[in-house]
Amino acid sequence: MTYSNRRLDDSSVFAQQMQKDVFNAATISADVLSRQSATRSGTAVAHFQFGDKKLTLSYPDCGVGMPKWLPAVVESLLGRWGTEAGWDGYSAKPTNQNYVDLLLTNLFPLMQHNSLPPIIMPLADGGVQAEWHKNGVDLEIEFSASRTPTYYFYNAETGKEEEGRFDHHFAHIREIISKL
Amino acid sequence: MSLPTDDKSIPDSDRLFRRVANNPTMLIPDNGGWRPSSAVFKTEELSVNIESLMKAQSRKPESTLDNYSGQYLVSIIAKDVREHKHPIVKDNVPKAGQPAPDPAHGLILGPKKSAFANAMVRSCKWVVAPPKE
Repeated sequence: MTYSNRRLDDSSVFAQQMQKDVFNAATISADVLSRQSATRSGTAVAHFQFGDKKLTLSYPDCGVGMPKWLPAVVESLLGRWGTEAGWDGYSAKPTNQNYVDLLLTNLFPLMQHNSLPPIIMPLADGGVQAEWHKNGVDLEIEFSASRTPTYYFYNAETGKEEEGRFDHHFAHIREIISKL
Repeated sequence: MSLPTDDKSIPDSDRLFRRVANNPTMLIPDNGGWRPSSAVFKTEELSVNIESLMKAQSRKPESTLDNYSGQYLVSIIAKDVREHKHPIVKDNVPKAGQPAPDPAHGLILGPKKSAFANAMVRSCKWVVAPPKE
């Protein structure tokens, strides 16, 4: 199965399934409560609860169970959701779920089961980005409300730096993540 | 559309102070401490407080956090910003119908590439740092 072209455009996978209580900046601890079985062939549904916050996700089921990185990503997402305008102390817009859906939709084909989970950060324009930082390597994928999705890579040891369109470098990004 | 002209009255050596939110947190774990996410520096009209204005107003940099309890403060250098071709302008004149800006308020203008934002992360210094992990 190829993910790249299908997943980049198919943000409706998460838009249809994702239900989230409004996040009110309370502290969240990661306790995955349950996981339901597949609702349709090739997908699984997971329910997360963090304190009084609930999140339901459907995701591609590759037959090896829930990806190990998913709970950490969900915790990071819910813990950093910009709910109020001006959440950054300046003029930030609330996090737009459409960009969250797009990011999550593209994370699954990028990541392997044991991949290092990224930290999810809100952007001031309502978008989101995923960040990995390990051993002097920085990788970001950005789903901004202001521009085409991009990626950024930096290696502190070699000084190598890259920045470009996410959709043009999908396989390359996937390879970087596999080596983190 | 062209950007406003960089204000050369702001010295290259000036520190520019940027608040770092903590609710939701914009902090990344970093060797037992914290660093800001590059997202802190990606706003197209990036608000900062300008050091030379604050000195003229006899204000300490930390006063940037007045009325923003729970947030932290980093500084970047005007020269480093200009190396990425972003104009820096003062924006401290009250506008009709809008809340009065901080008297030392300025803006770093232009769409921000990740290369710029990450360069600022690498060069920034904590003025008011979060507690270590």
